[in-house]
Amino acid sequence: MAGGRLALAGLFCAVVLALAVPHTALAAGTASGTDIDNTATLDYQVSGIDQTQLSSFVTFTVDNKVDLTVVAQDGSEVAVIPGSLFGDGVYNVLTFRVTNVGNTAQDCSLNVVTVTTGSAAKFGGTDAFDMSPERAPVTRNFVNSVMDVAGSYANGTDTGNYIDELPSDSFFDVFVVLDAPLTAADGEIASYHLVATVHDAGTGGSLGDLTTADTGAWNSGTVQVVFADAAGTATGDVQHDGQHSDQDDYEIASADLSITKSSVVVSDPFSASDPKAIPGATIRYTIDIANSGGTDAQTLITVDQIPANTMFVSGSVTTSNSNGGATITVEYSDDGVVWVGAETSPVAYIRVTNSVVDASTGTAQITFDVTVD
Amino acid sequence: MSSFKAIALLAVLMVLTFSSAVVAEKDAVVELKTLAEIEVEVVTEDGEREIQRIEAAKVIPGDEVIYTIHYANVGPEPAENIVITDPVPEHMLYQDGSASGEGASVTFSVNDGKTFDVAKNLMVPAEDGSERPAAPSDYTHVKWTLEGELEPDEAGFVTFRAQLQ
Repeated sequence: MAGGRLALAGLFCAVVLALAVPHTALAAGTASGTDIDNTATLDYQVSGIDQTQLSSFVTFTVDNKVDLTVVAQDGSEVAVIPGSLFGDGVYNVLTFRVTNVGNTAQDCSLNVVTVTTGSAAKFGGTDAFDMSPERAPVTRNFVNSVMDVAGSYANGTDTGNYIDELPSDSFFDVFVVLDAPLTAADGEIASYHLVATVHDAGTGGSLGDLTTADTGAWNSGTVQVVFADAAGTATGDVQHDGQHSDQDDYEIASADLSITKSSVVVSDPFSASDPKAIPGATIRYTIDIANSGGTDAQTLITVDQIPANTMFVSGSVTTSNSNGGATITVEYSDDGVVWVGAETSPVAYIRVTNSVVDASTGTAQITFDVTVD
Repeated sequence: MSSFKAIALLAVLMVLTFSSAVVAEKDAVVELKTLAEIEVEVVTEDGEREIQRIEAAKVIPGDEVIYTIHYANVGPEPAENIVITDPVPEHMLYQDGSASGEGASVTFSVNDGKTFDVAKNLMVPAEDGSERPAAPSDYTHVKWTLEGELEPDEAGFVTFRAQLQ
């Protein structure tokens, strides 16, 4: 697999996360249940004589402001390679941060919603394919309840499927880890929403009941629930509905290879110029490989069979690669099964291995000559 | 104002009717009542949006609460030199320019009610040890000093707004 590209993407994510670490006090506000008391006093006189001071008391209880934010932490599309699978230890991770900006500890349930093909992606372009399978999002270090710490996905550690007891002004990072299908093409985008929905904190270690807003009569003595969240990116995620969402994109980073083969008559035994493909003529075959994709292609193996009624011209193989550092290996076979570095007798097959063809218009070329029987 | 006066007068009548024996023992009785209210937008039957004040029962951080202190002289003698003091509650921030009262001069305290002054004279310690002009959020108390006398059956109110942090 193209390790270089993936590592680069990972590094970029890490930088973004590091920048996001100094989360300022979000000022979720006075905790719910706090009594706000007020006592006014009045002093006065009658006929110049001080009278007893009067006082008047009023109080109310701070209610539960339910407010959360979901913010994608990836600064651009997350690059993924076709056929990269969770089961093979390749983790294609979208990172989201769920922050409780309300004034009460809450649980959150988490859902991934796929963007409809053809709909707008977050970072431009449109959704073109779906990752698989529909694996549920997981929270960071859920087992150890590590909050307020940015980090990258750790398989086996980050396993929670909801957020438990998230205090006011705290965040939990949530990861969406999906597989990239082999069929997706370079530059195609798969876009997703993460939707976090507020639940009551309830008992630690379990997801509490879905939080509902108190729409009934006001009561100054009890804590009531008011939804204060903004509208999110997911369809139907309106403001003040106890949920929030953000969108994030995968983008296929793949090689896009083309291969063309051409032939030209180099010489014939009788013509001084404009040689023809007559018996005894020498034909030169040229195989051109080009990578127009955004990712290096690695270990490209090109096999060609010497055409019937022709004979390979010994020592005629030439190779080139636009990347001077590429390793190129030429092998020969008389049966297409056993390959050796020296020319076989006869040379029935040629195999050329390029260690790499660079992204963005890297090229490789192979030529060899045959004579017509 | 006028509706409140009507209520105050009703209160007077009730006091006179049911508590006349108690009231008669004092020359002047001033009553005091504080309301904490919030403003909500409601849609009327005509489809019009209008702001109504309701009791501050459902309050979340960021909401503004209107404190209104009603006073009424329900006694037979005029009351003089009336001074009303109200602390800005804990977890709340005084809202600039919100304190008012008819016939009242308003001063503020930034030292927990020890001293009061008009807004422009108030100073608080700055972070570098010097003093800086006080901001409305520094106010700890509001004081209304009523001019003139409050005659029997007269009533009024003073008010300020504070935001829940």
